[in-house]
Amino acid sequence: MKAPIFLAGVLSALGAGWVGFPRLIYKTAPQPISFSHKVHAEKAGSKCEDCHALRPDGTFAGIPPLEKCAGCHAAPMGTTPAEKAFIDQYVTPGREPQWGDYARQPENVFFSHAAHIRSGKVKCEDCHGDMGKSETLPPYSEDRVSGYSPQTMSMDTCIECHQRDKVVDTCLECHK
Amino acid sequence: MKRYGMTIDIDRCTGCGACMLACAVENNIPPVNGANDRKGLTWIRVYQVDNGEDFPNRRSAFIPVLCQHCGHETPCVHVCPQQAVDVDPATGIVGQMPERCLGCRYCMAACPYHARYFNWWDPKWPVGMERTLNPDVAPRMRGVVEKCNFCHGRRHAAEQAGLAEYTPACAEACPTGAIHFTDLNAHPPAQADTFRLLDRLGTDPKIYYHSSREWVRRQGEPASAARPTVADQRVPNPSRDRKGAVPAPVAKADSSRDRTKPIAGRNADSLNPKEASRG
Amino acid sequence: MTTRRNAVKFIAGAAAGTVFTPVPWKLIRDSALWSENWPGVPRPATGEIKFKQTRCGLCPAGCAVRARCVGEQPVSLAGIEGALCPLGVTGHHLPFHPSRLKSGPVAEAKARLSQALAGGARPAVLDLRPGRTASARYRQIMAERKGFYLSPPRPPVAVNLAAAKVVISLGVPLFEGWLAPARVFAVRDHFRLVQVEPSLSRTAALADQWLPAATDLHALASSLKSQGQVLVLDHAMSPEILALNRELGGWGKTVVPLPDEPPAEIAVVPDGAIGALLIDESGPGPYIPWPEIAPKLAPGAVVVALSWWREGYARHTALALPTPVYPESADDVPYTREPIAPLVKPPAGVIDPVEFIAGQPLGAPSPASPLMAGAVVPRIAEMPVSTPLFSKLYNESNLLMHPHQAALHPSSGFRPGEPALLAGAYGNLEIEVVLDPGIAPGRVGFVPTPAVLDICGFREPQVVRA
Repeated sequence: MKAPIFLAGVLSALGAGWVGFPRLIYKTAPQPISFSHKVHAEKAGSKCEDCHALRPDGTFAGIPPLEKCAGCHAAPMGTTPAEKAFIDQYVTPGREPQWGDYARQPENVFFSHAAHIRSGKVKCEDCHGDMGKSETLPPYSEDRVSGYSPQTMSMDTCIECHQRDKVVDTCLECHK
Repeated sequence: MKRYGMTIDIDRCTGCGACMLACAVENNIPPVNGANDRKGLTWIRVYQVDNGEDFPNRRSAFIPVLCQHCGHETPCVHVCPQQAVDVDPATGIVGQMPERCLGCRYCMAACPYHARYFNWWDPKWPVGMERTLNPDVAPRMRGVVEKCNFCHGRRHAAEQAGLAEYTPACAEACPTGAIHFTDLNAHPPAQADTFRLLDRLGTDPKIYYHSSREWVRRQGEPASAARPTVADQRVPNPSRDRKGAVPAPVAKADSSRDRTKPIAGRNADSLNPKEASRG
Repeated sequence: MTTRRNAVKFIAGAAAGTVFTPVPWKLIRDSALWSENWPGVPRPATGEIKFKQTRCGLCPAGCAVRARCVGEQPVSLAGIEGALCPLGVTGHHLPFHPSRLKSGPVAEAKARLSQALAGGARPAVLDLRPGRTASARYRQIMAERKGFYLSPPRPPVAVNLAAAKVVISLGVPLFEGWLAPARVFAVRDHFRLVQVEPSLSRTAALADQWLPAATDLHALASSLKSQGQVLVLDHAMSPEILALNRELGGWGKTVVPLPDEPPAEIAVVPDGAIGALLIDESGPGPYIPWPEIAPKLAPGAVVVALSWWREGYARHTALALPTPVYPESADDVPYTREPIAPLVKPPAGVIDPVEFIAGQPLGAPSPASPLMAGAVVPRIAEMPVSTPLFSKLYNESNLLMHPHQAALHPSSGFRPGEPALLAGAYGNLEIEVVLDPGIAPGRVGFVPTPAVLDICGFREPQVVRA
């Protein structure tokens, strides 16, 4: 009887730790509207930088504001219910959708898209994967303790590349 | 390779404090009401110094003191147990990363210039004023040390916009044009009437001060500040000496002893009347 | 069977198992990340950086300003033709001043005012920043209604330092905001400054020559004539000094006359003549001590202070109404009438002073009347307003004297930090003594806040033991 009780403890901890904990630690919320990067890339022929642009001063615009969406979607262009819902709920009342930003960096980090794209020749896919080909937006999840999304880069990731490519890795190069 | 630094013309400094305010605006430094001159936060501080005479022979001058970005044996880097301080070899800027700081304040003890400041309180702004915070600089939490980093937020913004040069907030805000921010490699400071603070320590500070007044120049080397020099303390070890390092000058003669208060020790040895009344 | 031993075994097993799950490792990492975002640290708003241009509305110099904005909110200000003074560089913080007036009895003020005016009370407008388009409007309305238009002493001339080779300053804080500091230092190397002032001020400290006193000003000016054009300054550019400058050949060169205006000094008003006083204090500006105003009021006079803060005239009337303040208000620069475009919208509930007093908003400013190039309108009245960050200068360092302090020469016999009374013609105020060997023996260095001016008027107070 000695081992089974101990083993039961081990097994229940493993179960809780591997199955229950990941569900518990993240809180998830769906994105406001089901958005298909794929449709925009294929049918509308958009490139990443058409919407996620660099501004003239080199700052990254990030998720485009409603204004940008409304530029094309003032009236429905297709027949999908998601587009209709988007226009009814956001474009017409002029309400900015509250997107969850998967790759938002911590407040103390200065991450320059301009530097990585122009000097580092890093492609969008290198960090953001196949987001540009996705058909739906995965729900946004956030760590309850740290407040960061699982896609938020940690310093290990930054340092890995910077040391490999012999790029400056002083504190203030990336921290603000 | 750049070597950023400043030349500050004391003969033009009116002590108005615009640099201190512009610095606080740029770097999201909160007003710390209730703090005194020892517990306040200001990455650049303008000290009033005088020639020690009484009225009407008294003369005074104002010396802005910020992080001197020491280029040789940078004292704060050596003592940090967290590796939260580093010297950028590409710019010579001494960087401090508050998120990594554990608040031991060894660096403050090590800094000969009192240019480092500790966050004694949570950063708080008057209601609504958080809206005026600069998005390029992260506000710091309570319990960490911070200091001037030559406006790294502006450096980032300039680099990102493809600009070769930038100006820190204090230099931009100085209404009298006393503060000049330059690449010292490209524009070496003029030698005449120029001094550095505590030059004899051999830390190679990158802030050069200029004054045509002899008594003002003496403020750079207060003889009464009994700090050991690097040259005195270090065990001779040629391999540790960096190439091209400035040799530590021999301490000057004690002719100026007791004539003036040491700048760097000023806030430590003057009793602040405000503090006394506050209790 | 549930025994104590089995429970311990289970817990031991669970503890051992936990080590092989992500739980402890992720929690360690997460708590480290959490500590980066310590609660209580505000997060700056992000967005596109835009630049807007306007003019500084905080003193008559009206420096050109470039505002760096996130969205609509300015996050920093910088001068365009020259850097800004300490107040100007933090001007965008004024709306968040802890003493900002945010609400007031608007309906009651209107009712009491119309009641008083219907009863034949004589109105008066006190305009603390004369020379603006709004000032012209007030003057016109008061002329129509047989009222008084009042303002603090206004500068009769603008000053052009570029045309002077020698400047004799009679205690003028030339480097401390009397003229915009950047405009002064742009030409600093081209003139010699002789500062005649009893105490070692910041201007005296940087002057080419500091004289604690000058017995014969004419002789001094004549002796310096050989070095080039001499300009003589005093604080208010009084008639005698203007006459001396005329004599020295500076009229139209170093001193540029501003348009002549009928007198607006409070002294011309007979005692007890004002039945309804409207005060436009919609921005930092000079302050007329209340004891100089109070005798001019009729018994039961209605006083409405349209004020941006609580520290000024709002202390003297229950009818204090909040106004917009720079950079919320549309205004213009005194005398040159360069428009000051608002950078942000004023908060709800504030009252536009021109609309309240004149019945309609200002509309377009009068056409600009450019000054001679290089001439700057001096700030002849003290304006000890501070923004929240000024705590850096007087709390967190010793650069400025705190408003609750007064400076004396060490020979005064006071101890540093000793509590004492600042005694003026109209009352006393508790202060704390600071000793400064640069102050002339017998003189007092003080910060002329409205509270201090209310006890001493425009005369220097004394420090006496409590």
